[in-house]
Amino acid sequence: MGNTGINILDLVSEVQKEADALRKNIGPSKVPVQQTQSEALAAAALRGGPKSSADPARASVPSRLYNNVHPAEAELHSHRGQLGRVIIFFKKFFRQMMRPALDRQASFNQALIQSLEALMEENRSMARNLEYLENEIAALPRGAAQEASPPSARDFNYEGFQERYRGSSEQVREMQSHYEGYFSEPADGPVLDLGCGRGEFLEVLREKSIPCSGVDLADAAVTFAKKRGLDIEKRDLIQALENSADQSLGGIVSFQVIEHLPLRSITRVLRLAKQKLRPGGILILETVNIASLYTHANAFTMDPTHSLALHPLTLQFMAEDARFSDINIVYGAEVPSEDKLETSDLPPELSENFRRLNTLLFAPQDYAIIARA
Amino acid sequence: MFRKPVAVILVPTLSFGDATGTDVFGMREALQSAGYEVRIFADAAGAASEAKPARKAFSFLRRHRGLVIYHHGIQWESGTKLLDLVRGPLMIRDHNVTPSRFFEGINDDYSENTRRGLEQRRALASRSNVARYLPCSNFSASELTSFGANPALVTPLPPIHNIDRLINTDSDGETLKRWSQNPADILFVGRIAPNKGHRRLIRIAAIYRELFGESLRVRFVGPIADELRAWQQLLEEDAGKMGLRSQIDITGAVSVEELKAAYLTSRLFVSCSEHEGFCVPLVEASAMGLPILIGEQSAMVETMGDVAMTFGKTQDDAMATMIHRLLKSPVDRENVRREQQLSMERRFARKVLLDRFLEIVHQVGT
Repeated sequence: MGNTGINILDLVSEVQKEADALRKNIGPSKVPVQQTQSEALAAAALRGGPKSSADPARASVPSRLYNNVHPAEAELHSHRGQLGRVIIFFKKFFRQMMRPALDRQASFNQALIQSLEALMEENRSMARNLEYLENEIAALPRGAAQEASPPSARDFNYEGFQERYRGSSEQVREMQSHYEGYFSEPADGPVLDLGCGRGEFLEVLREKSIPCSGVDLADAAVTFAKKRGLDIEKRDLIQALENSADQSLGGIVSFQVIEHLPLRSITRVLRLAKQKLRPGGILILETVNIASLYTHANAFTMDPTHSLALHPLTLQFMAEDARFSDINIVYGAEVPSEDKLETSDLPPELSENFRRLNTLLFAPQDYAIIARA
Repeated sequence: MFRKPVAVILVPTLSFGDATGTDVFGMREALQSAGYEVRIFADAAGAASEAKPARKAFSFLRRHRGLVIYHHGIQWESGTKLLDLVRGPLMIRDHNVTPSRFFEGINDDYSENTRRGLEQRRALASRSNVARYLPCSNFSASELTSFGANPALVTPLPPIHNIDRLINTDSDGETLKRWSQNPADILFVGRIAPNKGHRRLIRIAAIYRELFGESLRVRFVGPIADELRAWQQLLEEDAGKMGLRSQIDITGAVSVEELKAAYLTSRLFVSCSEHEGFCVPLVEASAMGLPILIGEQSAMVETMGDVAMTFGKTQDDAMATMIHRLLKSPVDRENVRREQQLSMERRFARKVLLDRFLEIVHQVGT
């Protein structure tokens, strides 16, 4: 038992039991047993795979050059029998006379080989970087743009749907009003609104002279916001983040957007946000509160473009994992009291049960993660 | 007129950054602080400005009767000839030699060189003019005595590292940015070579996916010799067969700044190495705050001491489960990290090693 109260041997033993139980549940492993080294090499050779690099042609150039660094250390030969011995004697004599010059040549050779090695390493490093970039390009997610773009009008009249159920600009502004306090003066900016819609929050910021801009993919929303003189672009939110300079933003906000994104894109948004916010900058991500059964049955399932329901604690964990600090979960949009179970006329024992049911069924409809970079 | 005592360090190759080079520079620092004039001779020197060519040691050793420290880690023909000229106390610094069986079928030169290196190690163990053997671990010490070294002359001393340099170095910004976007769940630092256990680690990543339905991102950091490219290819094939190619990142050699970035963007350090003389990266990883899991290899188990989290060859399921536990439980991860860090700091602080080395030098006397 050490300073933290943890006993590593006990932990290993506990984990061994856990592993045994897991294996029992899952059944025998399908991962191939590791071949011995010689088996693996033999199998690879049969497939025309890796070959021994003992072939001198494959040996590194510097290692071969190193053997010939010093001109005075090369072996001397002659094919002329007795006369050859005399020739070799004179060769050795002259070589000895030239030793100072040959030493300088050897130093030069050594320096040259080292430069060559440095160049080869540089070349290998560039090849690695190139390979990395190629892999990155191949593995690039299709991007939030494609994955979260509004469905086409042929599939579904999403803009009409939004217009009907998202509420008026005034209603949206009212719902977002409790985030206004996080940005009070121009120095709190610039703020980037991801999926800014008609730009209600940007208008609030503009009124406070806080520099701000937004991106959205819905044509109608972008046109609408532009007409109101807001700095908004039709652009994918991940691209917008990627194009921002590191530590250049005072705030990043996004309301009711991440539930449209796949998990991978949300992770990417969080990591990029951490990178683009200056230290102490604020991130606000508001989404539907899936912990409310009322919301799950209504707001979440109503929108056919919602792809992922994130529990508040899950999003909080993801923000922690992206190295944000001071992370708070703030709940908003209470369910109207008339929609909740009526408790006022019930006897006390039933009233308490109904109160608990209300909490479970009718928790606030939205929540936001508010965190500092 | 007083003259400083002379100490000679003989080493086959001298480079900045590798374990042997760092050990050599640490010894030089300790000896200089004790008033020695230190000369380093090397056959091949990436750190050429720090050493004189080994051929010049022949005449130097004939003229001086100082302390000589001979570093053995690879075969060195001319080095063993130099030992016949030593007139003062001789210390053999044993860095262990990777057994040649690991290179058979991969590279004949490596196989032959390590075989000859081991032969020379045996010969060194039975030399008559050795004042002290300094193996880098008890594991290496027991090998030396089994080769015939007098146990009374064998004093294990861990490699003198320079982890402070790593800690105080700023990480490479570009690399940090790139790897922060793809942080590694598992990091292993060590050259790409057949004894380093990369294949088992790839298999454990496959087991992890099987047990938990999630993929691990594994980053292998370490140089790749041209002669061992075939081995890298085999690792990539292994990863491909298990559907893990995109999860395994083989970086090649890195600078200190890039190494720092690797530690900062990783969550656990796992080594399944099958042969080590000591394994300095374990001390580095611990200092950089990563919890460490290891395979059951004598020198690594010894290095980790009472905080070793060890998994034998039949415990791949358990190792994968422990990885899962530590990745998912910040509390366990922090507790393990802290226990290991305290233990490693206590035993392997650089000052402790430098003092221990000087104590041995004084025992040997000049």
